[in-house]
Formats: sequence, structure tokens, C-alpha cells
Amino acid sequence: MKVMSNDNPAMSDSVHDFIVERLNLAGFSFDSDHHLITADGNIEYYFPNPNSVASNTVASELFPFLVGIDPTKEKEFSYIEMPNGVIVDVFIKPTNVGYDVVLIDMALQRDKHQQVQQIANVVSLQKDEISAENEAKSKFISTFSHELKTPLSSILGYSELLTEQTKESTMVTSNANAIHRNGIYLLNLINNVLEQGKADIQQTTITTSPVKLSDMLDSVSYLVKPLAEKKKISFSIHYGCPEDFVLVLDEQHLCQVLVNLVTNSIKFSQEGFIVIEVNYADNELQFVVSDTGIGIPEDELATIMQPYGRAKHTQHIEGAGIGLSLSNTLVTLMGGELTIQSKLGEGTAVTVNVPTTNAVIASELSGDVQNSTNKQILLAEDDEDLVPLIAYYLEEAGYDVITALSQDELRSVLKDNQPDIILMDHNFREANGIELTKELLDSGFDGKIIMLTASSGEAIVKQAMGAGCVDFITKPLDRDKLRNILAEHIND
Amino acid sequence: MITKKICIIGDFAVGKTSLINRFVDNHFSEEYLTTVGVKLDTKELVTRDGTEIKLVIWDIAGADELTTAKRSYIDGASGYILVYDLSRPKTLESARKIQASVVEEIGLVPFVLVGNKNDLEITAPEPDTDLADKACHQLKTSALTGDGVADTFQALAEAVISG
Repeated sequence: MKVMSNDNPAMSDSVHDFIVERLNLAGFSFDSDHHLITADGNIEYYFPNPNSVASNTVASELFPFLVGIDPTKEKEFSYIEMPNGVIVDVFIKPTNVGYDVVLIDMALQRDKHQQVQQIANVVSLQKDEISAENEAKSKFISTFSHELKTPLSSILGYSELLTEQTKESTMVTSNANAIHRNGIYLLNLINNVLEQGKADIQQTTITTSPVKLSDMLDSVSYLVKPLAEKKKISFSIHYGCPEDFVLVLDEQHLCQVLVNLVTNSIKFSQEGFIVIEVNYADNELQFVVSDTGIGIPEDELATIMQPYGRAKHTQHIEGAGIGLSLSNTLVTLMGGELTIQSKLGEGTAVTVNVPTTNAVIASELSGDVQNSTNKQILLAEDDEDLVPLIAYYLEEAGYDVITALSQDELRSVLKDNQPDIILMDHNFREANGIELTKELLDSGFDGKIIMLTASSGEAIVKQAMGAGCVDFITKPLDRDKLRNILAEHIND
Repeated sequence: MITKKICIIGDFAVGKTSLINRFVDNHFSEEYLTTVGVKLDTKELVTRDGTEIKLVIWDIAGADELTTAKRSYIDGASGYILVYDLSRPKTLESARKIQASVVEEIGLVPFVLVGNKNDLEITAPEPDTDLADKACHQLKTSALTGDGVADTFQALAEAVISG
């Protein structure tokens, strides 16, 4: 309860004095000519020299914040730090003779506010710095990927062709196999280093699409079989579900995981076999990669799941030590789980469970049998080594192929031809394939454009699709995948 | 002597307070201390035609936009310095937004567009013509070295006087 008494003005004065002292409250009345009439409150706090607050002093000399302000309108400002260092909240109120200026000391509050704001701003600056560094790293990874994978496309493609075309010469076939096998090893290593780089800056994105199970495992087999054959280790895939199940998956990353697991098995096995068992149940896909290799001691299982972690007894075996930890990261990002069971000297089984959608049998999906006869593909690719290889792949599949090595050549070719599909290199000579795609589609090209990219960034794929590409193919090219994608779009 | 209010505005940590400290006290501190509210300073200078002018400089706390609370600070300003950080491209985008808010609040008054920290690696693009053409002057400065700082305030003072 509050008791007020007009008979006891002393009480009122003491409260007034208390407030004035606590808040360093001060009020100044000015006339309409901006001259000081009266001042009240803790004036000394703001103006230690009493002569500076003489009657008739001009308002803006006392308070520079009044310059430019119309004091006939009520106004207030928070946290004004005056030239003499005092920090105030200011209230300007018009009166019948002019206006009042009221000051409240806000030094303590402002300092507290400043501490909080300082932390927020510094954190924000640090976040920006990290973001800029990550952007630079991401750009580096993308460029590096292109620079490495484009020549690898030629190495892998030509060595494979050489193997096929020189079966009569054991020596040449063997040499070509060695080139191909080492190329694959290098490709896996590059993929892991690049993916680890992206994972380090939290830029791994999971992109799912419908995938035929056997197509995906064929790709894995294509990459690991030559390595297993070299060590005379048997490699096989056992399906516990229909091979032609179509599931929605992140094919690229899941392939990478399986290639890593099998490659590890090959690396740490001297003989015996490696099996991938595939099972599907309740919207979950399971792979078990088991081997008869050297195994891992139980107390080292945690170590090998760490980036660059190696078991002590495997230090003499070549390897970067990122495959397993990266695979674990990727599986986790897919919402799945990776577990290891191993017995020293007996072998290892790595189980990968990933969530997926209802499985559909591929043959139940609608789709006409595609016919490549009389279909024309324009290959816009500036790598002179790669062009004949891709052209060979396409011609072998029955397509009519025309090529363009430069922008000018591309425009010139399009004057006389109307290809069904353009395979557009992302880093086309002196041009950005994405911009070129937009330009062609805007200028009326009514065929389809598929982006060829050696970059690993998902952003590029999104940009390509945004520009109007109907699909994309990553380098190094998988011949079957190239043909499947073309077949999918050629009569669509 | 003519007295005019000018404001210095822009995103946080673009160096607004440092520019004023360099101009008013010829001082630079490496330490970043965020401004909360407003810091007032005054400085007298003489324009090319000999007019003496006292600038009341409102150093307004930085943010990526001019919030409602801060809009009252620019009331009555005869001109302003719009600052972005040459090493942080996104602060140029903030400058563009802030400039639009200032026009909404006080209409068209002269402003100098300043890219500060030209002693660092420049990563911000050149301002688009839409923003640059609105500015009465466009300068690159360094509060660290003092490069362009006095010219900035002088240019704004001249523009304010010529009205």
C-alpha cells in the first residue's frame, strides 16, 4: 500500500532527490528561441562546470544532439553518448513557452547492452569468416575435382577400350588392365579426399533419386572388380531381394560407401572372398560387406572409425585412412547406420542400413523401349582427348554424333543441325556450360540438354537443372550409365 | 559558423567509429568495440569557398538494416556517410538497404558512399550504378592509414553547404 500525503512535502522531496540521484536525472527548460530558462536535477553530473549552464545559454551549445531537430515535436533517443563521454537517454517535450530536455544517465545499462552486442557482433563476424573460408574451400574442391577427373576420364576410358580391342595380345591387355586398375584406385582416392573435404566444411548434401539396385551395384562392381582380380580374391554380390528393385537413394554416396568398404576388404585380404549381401525389408536397405581378411582387434574398432585412423597391425599397408570414417559420415547423413563386426585373423563384416522408400520392380515402371536409331547427339566438349572416346561410346550405341569443341563451333553446328540431345560440358571452353544452356534454350533450341560435369559440387547440378538441363552425368564417364541416361531422355 | 548534423551509417564492424576517430582525433585503434545507440562528436572545418562549418556527427550503431528504433536518429540530418566494408561483400548489400530506408525516413539528402578498409584485400564488388549514382561522392578509405578519410568528410560538408 502506498500512502500519499500533501501535508508532508518533505517526504515527496526525499523521493524526488532519491530518484534524481539514482538516475542522475536532469531537466532543462528552453524558450522558443532555444535559450535556457531553468535547469533542475543532478546538473553537476552532466556539466561539472556550473558556468556552462548559465541562463540564456543556447540549447545546441549544451546539447549538440538538438542540431537539426524540431523540438516542438515530442521525441526521445536511447543511448546517446555525448562528446564528453556521458551516456544518456534523452526526452524532448514541447511546453507552452518552448520545450524541455530531460536526461537520464544510462551508462550502466549501455555498458551491459554493449557487452552483449559486442559478443553477438564478434560471433557474427567469425561466422562470416568461416563461411567465406568454406566457400573458398568449396570452390577449390570443385575446381580440383574438374582438373583431376577430366584426365582420369580419358585414362579409364581408353584403357578399357584398349583391353577390349587388344584381346589377342596378352601383354597389351595386361598393361591396359594395369592402367585401368590404377586409374580406378586413383579415382576412388580422389573421390574420398574431395568428399572428406566437403564433409569437413559441412557441405555434404544428400540427393536422392530412383535407382535400380542392380545398376548401382554394377557400378560398384565395375570399380572394385579389377582391384579384386589383381589380388586373385573372389568378389561377388548376393541378392536377398529382387535385383531390379527400384528404390529412392543417394546413389552417388551409397556407391562411394560400398566401393570404400569393398576396397578396404581387398586391401586387408590376401586371399579368400569378398561378398556384398543385399537385403531389403520394411523400407530399409541393408548391405553386408564381408571378407576373409586380416580382421580388426576389438579395441581398435573405435580408432579406425576416426578420420585418418588406422589399426596398428595395418600400418604397413598403403592407405589414407579416410574411407571407413567417411563412409560412416555419409551413411549417418543418409539417416542410416554403419556397424562393424570383426575377428582378428578371420575377417570383417560391415553392415550398412539405410532408410529408403517402398521398393518397386523396374519392369513395372512405365517406359517404352528406347530406340537410338536416327537420333542425333551433339557433344559439346572441349577436351580433345575425351571427345573421340565419348563419341565412340555413343556411336557404338547407335547414335549419330556431331561434336563441337568451342562455343563458336557449337553455334555454327546448330545452324545446320537439330540434335535431339546436347551433351554440354560444364566447363566448356571460354564459357560456362550453364550460361550456354540458358542461352540456347532462350534462343529456341527445342532439344534436350544434359550437363557433363567433372565437378563434385551438388550446387552445380542444381544450377544445371535450374538452367533447363534435363539431367547430368559426372566424369569419369561410366559407359553404361551414359547410355542409360541418354536412353531415358531420347524418346521421352 | 554554420552547424549541421550528419550521420554515419552502415552495417556493423565496417569501421564507422574508426573513420570518425581518425577524422576527429587522428587516432586509430585495432580493438573492435561495438557502438550501441549513438556516439556524438563534433568537428569544425572550412569548405573550399571559405565557409566555416561545424559538423555534429552521429555515429549510429551498425546493423544490416535501419531498424525502426534507429530511424529516429537520422531525423534532421543534412547529409550522411554510408559505409561498407571492402573486405565483406555483404555489407555493400546492407548499405543498399539502409540507403533506401534513409530516403523513406528523411527524403533525399546528400550522402557519400564509402568503401572502408581499402588496406585489406578487396572482395566486395564495385557498387552498382543504381546506388553509386545516388551518392554525391564515392570514395575508398582506410581508417587505419587515414587514406581518403578527411576527403570523405570534406566532400560531405561541401555537398551539405551547396545544398
